[in-house]
Amino acid sequence: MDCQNCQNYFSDYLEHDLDLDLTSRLSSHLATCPDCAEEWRLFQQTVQLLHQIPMQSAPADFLVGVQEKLQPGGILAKLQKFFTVKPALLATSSGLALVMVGIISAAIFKTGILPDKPLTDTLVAGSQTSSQQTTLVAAVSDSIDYYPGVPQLSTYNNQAQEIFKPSPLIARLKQEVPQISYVSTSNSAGLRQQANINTPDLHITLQARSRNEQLQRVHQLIHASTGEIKTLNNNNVLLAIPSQGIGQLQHLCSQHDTICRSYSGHNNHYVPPKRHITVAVQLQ
Amino acid sequence: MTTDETTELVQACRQGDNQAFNRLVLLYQNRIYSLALNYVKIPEEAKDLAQDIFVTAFRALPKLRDDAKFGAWLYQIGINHCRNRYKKMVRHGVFSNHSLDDPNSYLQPTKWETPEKDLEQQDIIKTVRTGIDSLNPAEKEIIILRDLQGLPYDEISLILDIPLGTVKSKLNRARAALKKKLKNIHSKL
Repeated sequence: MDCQNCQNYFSDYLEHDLDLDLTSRLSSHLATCPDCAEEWRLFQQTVQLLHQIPMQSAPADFLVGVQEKLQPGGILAKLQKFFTVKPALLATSSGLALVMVGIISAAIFKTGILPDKPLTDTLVAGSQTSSQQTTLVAAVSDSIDYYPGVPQLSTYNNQAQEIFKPSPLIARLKQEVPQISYVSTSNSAGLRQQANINTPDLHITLQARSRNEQLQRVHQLIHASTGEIKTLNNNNVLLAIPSQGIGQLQHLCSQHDTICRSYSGHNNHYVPPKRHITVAVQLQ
Repeated sequence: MTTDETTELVQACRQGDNQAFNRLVLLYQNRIYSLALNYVKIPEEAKDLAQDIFVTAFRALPKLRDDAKFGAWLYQIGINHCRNRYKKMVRHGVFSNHSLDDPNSYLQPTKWETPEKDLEQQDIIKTVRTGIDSLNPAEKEIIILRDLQGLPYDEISLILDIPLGTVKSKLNRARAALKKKLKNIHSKL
């Protein structure tokens, strides 16, 4: 047996896995060959060293971990585990996703895929090949009101058109109102107060040639009626007269150059169903 | 652990007895964990890898043809998982920064009589492990299975799917290669 053959059988020789003939031949060689004997010594030593390495014990929670892994988990749990184990991959994928979003956004804006006009305009413009189709699309675009109650933009284009309908309150305020707007009274302390009054029921305009004539007419009105003077200033007199005294007042007015009309817009003979009627007299 | 006991547990597991599978895990967990640790070297990674091996085995149990060969079959799954994980870790450069002196390293040597002897033994084990790691994958694998795991030749033959004679010759070459790498240690012994 040569040295190479001898060393090829070291493992089997060590584990007594050779037949008797080979074992005796190998033993003889080792006894006569100091190199192979030294190699054999080292070989034995190596295997002894290997056997000194202890087997590691599994962690205490090993079985629990196996059972957890055997539990059916949802795709969310799998993704969570995947990215927990590989945080670098999560960071990379997030970065790539952001870059992709940026590139796609830039491409969209550059190529003008997004319409820069309102959708309805685009629809109408795109349908000009057929008048029938245009009508249809325009009708469709008009019929769709995405924000009910909010005036459409086209409403503002026609400046001459009135956008908002006047409310009844505004209309009433725009009517001609008497100059008398305050009642001056005095309290027990003698202090003058001003208070808003109601709209007069009757408005009388006295037309006289001179200031003296005007004053004379006013005196006639005041003394002829059984009413009460609510306020008096330069050109205006406000009277509160009983309802039954309205006939006397109308008679007096018919004798002079007066314009008598009820403020509510009815004719001169209208008498509101009140106990006292407020009459505004304006001097002209 | 006897083959009969393993066979009974595998049969019970096939019939849906989950406790039987837990028992199988407890029987093999140290071996599989050590096997994984020899490849990946990081305890946390080895634990995850070994658990994956058992999970794969549980799911593939219906494919096991001979219940008596559960151990070899489990090692086959284990070796495949370890190879794949090891390759992946090498690709990611895990081992280029890993040192055996790292306190989190896989080395857990047993305690010896004196601290000096303990330290000396730790050094030897580190050197031997470094020698094993420096072998080519086939040599390393057969050393692990035979000398670290203590598996019989026929089981290694089944696991690696190579003839018995090839197992013996490969083992002899692997041990001889390791012997050369450990010359420095031999001179100290």
